[in-house]
Amino acid sequence: MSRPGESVGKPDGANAQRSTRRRTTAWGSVRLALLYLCVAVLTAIFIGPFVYLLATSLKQTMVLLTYPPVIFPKNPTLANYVQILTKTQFPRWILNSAVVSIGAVIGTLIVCSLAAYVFARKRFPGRDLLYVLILSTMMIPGSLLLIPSFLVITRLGLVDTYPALILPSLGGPLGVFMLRQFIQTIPDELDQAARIDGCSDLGIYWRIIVPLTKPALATLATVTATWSWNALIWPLVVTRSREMVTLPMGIAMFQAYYQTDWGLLTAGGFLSVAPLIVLFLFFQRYFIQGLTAGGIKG
Amino acid sequence: MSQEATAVDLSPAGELRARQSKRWRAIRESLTCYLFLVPYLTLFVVFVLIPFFWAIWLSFQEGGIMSPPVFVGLGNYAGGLTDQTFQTTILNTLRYVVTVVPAVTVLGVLIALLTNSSSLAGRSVFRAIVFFPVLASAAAIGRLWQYMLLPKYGLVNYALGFLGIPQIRWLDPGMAMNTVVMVALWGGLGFYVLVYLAAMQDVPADLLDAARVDGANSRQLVWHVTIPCIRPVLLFTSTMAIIWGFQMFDIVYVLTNGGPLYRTATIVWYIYNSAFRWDQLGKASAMGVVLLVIILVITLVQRRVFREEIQR
Repeated sequence: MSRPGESVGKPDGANAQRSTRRRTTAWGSVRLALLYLCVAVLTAIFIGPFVYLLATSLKQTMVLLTYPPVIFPKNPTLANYVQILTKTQFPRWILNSAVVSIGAVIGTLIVCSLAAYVFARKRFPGRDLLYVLILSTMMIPGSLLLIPSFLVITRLGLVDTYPALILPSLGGPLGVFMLRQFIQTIPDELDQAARIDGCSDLGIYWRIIVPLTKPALATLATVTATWSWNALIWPLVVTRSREMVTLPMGIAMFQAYYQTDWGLLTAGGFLSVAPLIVLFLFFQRYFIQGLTAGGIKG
Repeated sequence: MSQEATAVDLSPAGELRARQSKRWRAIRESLTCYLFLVPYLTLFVVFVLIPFFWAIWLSFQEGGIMSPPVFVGLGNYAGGLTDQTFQTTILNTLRYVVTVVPAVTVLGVLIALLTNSSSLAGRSVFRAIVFFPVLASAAAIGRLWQYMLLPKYGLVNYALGFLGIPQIRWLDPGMAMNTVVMVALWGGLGFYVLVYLAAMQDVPADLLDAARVDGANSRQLVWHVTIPCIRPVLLFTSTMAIIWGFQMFDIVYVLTNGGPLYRTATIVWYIYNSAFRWDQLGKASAMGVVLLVIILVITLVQRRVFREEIQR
């Protein structure tokens, strides 16, 4: 869609000139004010609930349900955090989610990059058929696979274990697709040279393909991490004991385990949201690439 | 195979030997390739391919996780189509899709246009803020909104009070689906905004300049330059939105759990409950196959439209 050649050669000043001209007119300043008003309202809508989440987690129990609602507590307290981290199984759930997400990220990166390397670079009988088969499974809704996947996990005797939470997410088509697309854009002169120097396939994969694929690997890592950190339906199906509950599941089921205490729930919610937001702030570029490539919500 | 290789060595024709050893090398090469594929293919077969065919097989059977399966042919499909709850969930899901998809597209484009404006300082900060909800789990989002939407003590009703709007009972039967749509919008909109923004930044600047020189005002620029340029992206994301919409589960599960009175029960919610609460694996699988067919049809329609789009 973009035609890269076209924007080259445009004088840099043109844009600035135009915007200053627009800004000098009265109508322009009204428009600018309206623009900022819209942005302010939208900012409030999108970030307000997070602020309120944090504020509520710092409330004392007696100001959780009042009319009018307290927005910012007068005497903020960390009591909810202390309680959720010492009196409930929340720390264990954080650990579970961390293990599952890190496991899913590492597993996906290794397994998918190995497969993507041969799909992108090698010729072998059955390659194209296999690749088409893998891609065509992209359309299968996860809910259709839910029941038989659970039966497979049961047959393997893995119910209520970390492998049950991690392994099924590694077989999806997205990672192979993303990495293959990326590897194909890397010119293959380097592999050829390495091959002439006597480098093995594994050597080429590890010394050339993996380092050059780093941006795509980072992108895939962010997508996988977000997806598995937030996954709800699969953990619901495949865990049995309270010890194996993941964070989203714990938050969803909190009432079943402990009574509804909005202070605890919002503290838990904040603890579950914060890590990804921090990660996002550091690796924004990869998150945005990942979402245009495959879509986090998918 | 090594036997074959030794046999070749004994053959007197050197040319043949060379050809055979080349073939041997090709076999070795393919074997190496498959070795690279073993980890992925194993997982793919075990957790995608086998479950896929198993699901279809299950949809022709009756029985639970513990009880022995009985073959019932198309019984689950016939039963499913006459099952009133399943019909309700299909209607609910349709209702969700036809509200969420246009909303997400229109609002997404509007916010992206706003953010794309060159006179806006702090664009990248705003972009990040819009994206924050996309990072939060549906579980956290659902819980947070549950608290903010409490009828009496909730922040939202309190804030609406200032605008003179009387208290809304957000999770009452008549309102619950709208609430689900609203919360899903809040949680998902950032994704669309960012995708549209990326597309808008690819709109050739010359095209915009040329239109401006010809005296187009900003509304005309949007309608006749920007929107046509991002049309393929709009088409693609709305298809994805439809497909994801049909698979709505998380927010419904946390916020309303399908209630009240099945008013927010979606297809996937029903599949999940049929299988894991009511132990009807066959019926649930049949509904999963119905969902697959719906998604396939949408994908095929999208392909067709896309092809026409490119031909134009």
